[in-house]
Amino acid sequence: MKRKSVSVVALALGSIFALSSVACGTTNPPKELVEARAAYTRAESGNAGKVAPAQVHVAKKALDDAEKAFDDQGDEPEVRDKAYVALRKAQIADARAGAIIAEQQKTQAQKDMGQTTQTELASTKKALEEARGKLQIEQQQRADAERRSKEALEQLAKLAAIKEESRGTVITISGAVLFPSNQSVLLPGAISALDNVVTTLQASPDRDVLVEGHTDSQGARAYNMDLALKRAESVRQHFISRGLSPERVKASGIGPDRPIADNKTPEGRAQNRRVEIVVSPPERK
Amino acid sequence: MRQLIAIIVASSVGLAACGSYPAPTERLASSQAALRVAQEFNATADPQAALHLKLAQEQLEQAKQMLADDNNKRAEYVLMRAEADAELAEALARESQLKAQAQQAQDDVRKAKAGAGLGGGK
Repeated sequence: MKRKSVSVVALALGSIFALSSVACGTTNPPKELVEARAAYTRAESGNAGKVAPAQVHVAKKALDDAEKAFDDQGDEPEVRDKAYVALRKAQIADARAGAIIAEQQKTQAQKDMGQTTQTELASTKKALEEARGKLQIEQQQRADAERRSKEALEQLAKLAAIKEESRGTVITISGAVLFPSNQSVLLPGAISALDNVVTTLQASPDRDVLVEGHTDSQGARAYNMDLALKRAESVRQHFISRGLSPERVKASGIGPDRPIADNKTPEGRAQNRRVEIVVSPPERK
Repeated sequence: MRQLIAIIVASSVGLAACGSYPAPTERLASSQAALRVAQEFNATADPQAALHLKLAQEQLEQAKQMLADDNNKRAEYVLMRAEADAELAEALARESQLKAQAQQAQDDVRKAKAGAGLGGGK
């Protein structure tokens, strides 16, 4: 009697199990589950595994949930729904990872931008400072040259007559100050007077200079012309030796041809024996 | 015999009856919220995001219909799908936006560096 009831129970249990659990892993997994498994593996082994582990964990839980449902129920709508959700969770993990990485790249680029801007700014500043420095030096040099020129002119005025004429500024120096009698070699004392002229001329480098030698009318004309020219040349050479550009300076022997005083008196003759340094007006270009 | 009946009854209860499933009000609320978030994030701008937003919307409508038909259990599961699609739509839209910003920032750096190279020669 006992044996019979046990076997009936066993049969009943067997059929109930057959009814309530459709499969025990023998049906094929739904495509949603297959996709979910693949997506999880991709996410876990890719960037998401490194930078979005929390989201990967969520995806794993969803996948486990789907797998359990499949084991329990087989290919049922709910199993497919759970697998669908698991698939989405894995895709979300990938998207979150992508966003994190993009944000890191953005931040890095912004840093780089900051550095590049700083570097540019620094080099621009440096260039500006260098230009400023140069300008300051130039301005200082020009101020110094003008000051020296002014001082020289004041000194010169003690020894020379300075007149503005239509042909330019005319600096007239007596021959006695510059040369021994009948000679064209410069006196030692002439140097400082001529150096003052040089300083004045250096302040206006764009103006040409003409050195004219003049004599009185005494003696042979040819002699006077020769002496006048040689004296003008001596002055020109001195100017060049002091750094004036040779193209700027010309020498000319006028001789007795342009007297400024009466040759009949000794004083007049002394006045006529002179050197005129003509500084041409600035060229109108 | 009594044992057999007990087992049959227990298994029957295990086979769920649809009518007694509770209405998924929380799930409905959370999936609608997720959809709103995705829409606010302009999930339509990125094609992939737009696709999942559309799926979410369709599944939400499907679920509402099931609720009207008193099919609470199916509705709950479809709402789960909708919520997942909405969340994905938002994540994709955000990723797309950040990628574009990163690209722009990198392009700006390239331009700035190139400009500096030319300017330095002066």
